[in-house]
Amino acid sequence: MKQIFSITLAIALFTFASCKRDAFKEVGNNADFRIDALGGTWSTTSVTQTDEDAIRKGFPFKMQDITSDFNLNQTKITFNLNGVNPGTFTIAYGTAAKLLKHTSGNWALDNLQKPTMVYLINGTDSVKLKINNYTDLGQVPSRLGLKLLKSAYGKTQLGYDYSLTK
Amino acid sequence: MKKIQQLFFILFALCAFNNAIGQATAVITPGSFTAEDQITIRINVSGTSLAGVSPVYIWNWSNLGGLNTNGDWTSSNETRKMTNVGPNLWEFTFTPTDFYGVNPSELKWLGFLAKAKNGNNGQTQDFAPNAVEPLIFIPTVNRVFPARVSVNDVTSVFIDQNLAPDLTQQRMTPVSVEIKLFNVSGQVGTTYTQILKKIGTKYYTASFIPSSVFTIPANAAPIRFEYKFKGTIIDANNISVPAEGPVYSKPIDPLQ
Repeated sequence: MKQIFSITLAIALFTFASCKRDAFKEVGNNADFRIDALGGTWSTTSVTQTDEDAIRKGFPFKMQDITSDFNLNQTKITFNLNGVNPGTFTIAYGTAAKLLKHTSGNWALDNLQKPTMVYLINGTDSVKLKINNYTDLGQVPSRLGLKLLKSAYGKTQLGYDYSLTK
Repeated sequence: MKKIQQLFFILFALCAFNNAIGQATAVITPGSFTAEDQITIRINVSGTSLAGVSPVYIWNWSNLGGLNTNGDWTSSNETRKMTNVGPNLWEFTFTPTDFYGVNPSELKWLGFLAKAKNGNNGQTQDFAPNAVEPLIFIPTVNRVFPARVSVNDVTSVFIDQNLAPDLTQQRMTPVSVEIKLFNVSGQVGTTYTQILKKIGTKYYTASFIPSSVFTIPANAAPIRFEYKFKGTIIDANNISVPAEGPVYSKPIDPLQ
């Protein structure tokens, strides 16, 4: 009887230990990425400006929400698909500040299977956006995080974190 | 009388000689830096004994003394060769902590000069001391966020009166900030004024994008902006009168 109890307890403990919550997938894990989920019009919910130098040095004042001061929630980005490949893009700013520089052109990914960067290309000029996450791309509503980083003196100095929804 | 004339002649000749040799000019970017920031030193050797000399080498020292890796004065180390970026214009880029091989807290200032490989064949004057900012955050009455901004970036200026070192900035009721943009030739565009937003006790801010609030000609190349907080203060007769703080300056950075 004691043995049956011990075995049952061991199985129960093993089962409990196995019930570990899945960690969020990292950007670049192609299991999470579907290009068709990236297509469509994305609305901006918030934009946070980051001081990358302050983050690096551990200084205070690392970020601030700039959404309302510059009407950035009016920014809408549309990614059009060309079959299963990136196609054209348009950005409607409304009264928002034009922080993403371009209003139309072609978009591209650094890797079609495991993208980490989105390029907004207009002529010979391109704006590079780092993909913060796409774990919620397939959800309703979908969520996407893109970050515009700017550099000088050999290091990234500031960033704009766009939180988008579709 | 003749002796005095001779003395004046010698002095005049010395001055003329000095002007003929000329002084080099040097610029460090960014304008303020810590020991862990990458910096670029650009030296213009036009009109000096180094004019037309190639290659040119940098010679470094600091508050800690000389640097063995410079090589010998008569034979600079090849790693100290500067990059030619124009007629008599030479650049050298490095990160102080890596370059000097010391801890950030040890570096207080940097010194440098440009020279021919054999320093006896030409050199500039000394450029020292060039302050190295401490690698700690020092709260001040004025602040700009983020630390590095270009004319196309959201720029926020802050006044925290709790940290004000003078009575005017402590006591005034801030209302607006006056901003002026400059390039090497002077002011660019007209002065811009923005109303401040209160975000805490004696704590105010204003955010703007320079390229949106100033008309910047294509070749203007702004290098800095100046800002001044303005408001009102109650005088000895209990009357509200205009007041303003000092002018602060912030470099514009070439962010891309």
